[in-house]
Amino acid sequence: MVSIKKKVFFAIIFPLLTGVLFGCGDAQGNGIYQQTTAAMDTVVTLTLDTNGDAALMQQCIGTLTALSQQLDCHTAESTVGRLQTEGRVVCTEDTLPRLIRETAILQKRFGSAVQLSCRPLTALWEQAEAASALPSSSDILAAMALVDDTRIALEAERILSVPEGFGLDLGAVAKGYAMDVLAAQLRESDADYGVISASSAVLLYGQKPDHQPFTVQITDPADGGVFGTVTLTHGSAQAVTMIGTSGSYARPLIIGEREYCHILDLQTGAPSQSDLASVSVFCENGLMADFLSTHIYLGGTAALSQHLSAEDYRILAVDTAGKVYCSEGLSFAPAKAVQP
Amino acid sequence: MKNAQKPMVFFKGTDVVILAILLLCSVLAGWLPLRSKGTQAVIAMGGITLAVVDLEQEQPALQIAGAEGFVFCVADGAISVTEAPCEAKICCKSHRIDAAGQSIVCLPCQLTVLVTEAHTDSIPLPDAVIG
Ligand SMILES: [Zn+2]
Repeated sequence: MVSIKKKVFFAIIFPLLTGVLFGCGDAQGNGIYQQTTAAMDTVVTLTLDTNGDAALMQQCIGTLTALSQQLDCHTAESTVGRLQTEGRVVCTEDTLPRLIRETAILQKRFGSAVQLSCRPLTALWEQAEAASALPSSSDILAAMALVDDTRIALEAERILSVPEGFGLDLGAVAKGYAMDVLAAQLRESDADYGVISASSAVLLYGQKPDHQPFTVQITDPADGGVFGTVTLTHGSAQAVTMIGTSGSYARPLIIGEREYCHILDLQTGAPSQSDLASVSVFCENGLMADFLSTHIYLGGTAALSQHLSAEDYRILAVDTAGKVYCSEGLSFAPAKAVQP
Repeated sequence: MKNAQKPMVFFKGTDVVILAILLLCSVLAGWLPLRSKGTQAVIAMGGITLAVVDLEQEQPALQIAGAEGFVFCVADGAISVTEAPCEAKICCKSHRIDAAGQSIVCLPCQLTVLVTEAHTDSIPLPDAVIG
């Protein structure tokens, strides 16, 4: 099965590749390091030019691990898990309260299509997937009645409480928020270049060592291949670009024989039937990029125009027919001929 | 990958054959390089790479040192997790993956499977893959 070419490749390129994976820096921590870790429910790849700060990589991974542990709704011990079972939790850190405050600001501006309190509904659909049976409409209505972010109470900045039956699922914002925390960490460090990629959320930091623009490959919602490449240039040393992507293709819910979109439409309580296949948002704030990618996806093509002309973020969207919508000023090169 | 070629009004037998061959070639030419199939999977535990697996080599029940309890299946250029020591088995329910940038993760075990592609100098790797 293995061709000679392949054997040559493995003999020569393989050791080089593993070198990249473990880092190409010297003993003082200079140079570019790359490490992959499991966090935020996905694979996170960190590429950092630590500029002599040898501990930075481990600090960033530590941040990701700590955030995963606090924000994961699937573990009972997390802050989010305890809030669900106890109804009230005193946060030792500002992490979760800040995420809730910042999301509320976004909801005020864009509306409440994305809600953090959607856990009763996501749990219902997770159970449906496990049982291979669609939930009943009365169960959906009952779960929808428990989704309302205005009922999340925050006292004295650290004490969170929710009504009985309520719970948080931060799936639509947690990765983007993590990118904001990591960006702050990079700004405080001596690092002058970094790419942190958590599949649907990406952070581009500073400038590449060769001062070339960043290239971000967009996954094709139709076949998982390459849809095209977005090129981004950073003008300053501490510049940040955050990217958030939502699409119908990622992690489908499988119930019986059918696949459903993993993004739930809180208006219907059911998997989204958006006519968009994928939305990527580019801006300076990770939480906003993550939040907006889901928000815009749910809004479908009918609500796209206002986002295409937005001043503080840019978007690249693809509808289910393969048509591309790209904000002016965003440099996108399709991998294949696309409909204009 | 639709071909915009419109059929001509007057056909001879040989025209149809040539057209069919052209059509097939254009579909193949468009399809092959663009699917960006990965050629290998990097299996890591807690950020440490345990193995880089060739996806073109069929291995129906692959076990890897350092990832005890896990069984991977490599078939048709794709990899999947078929057995895992974790409780929820979410990793086993993940779809088989074959495109560069796709991944399977087992959060409780800190295991990651990431499909990558062999890169050559002529096609530079992107800084990030999103989606
Ligand atoms: Zn697992």
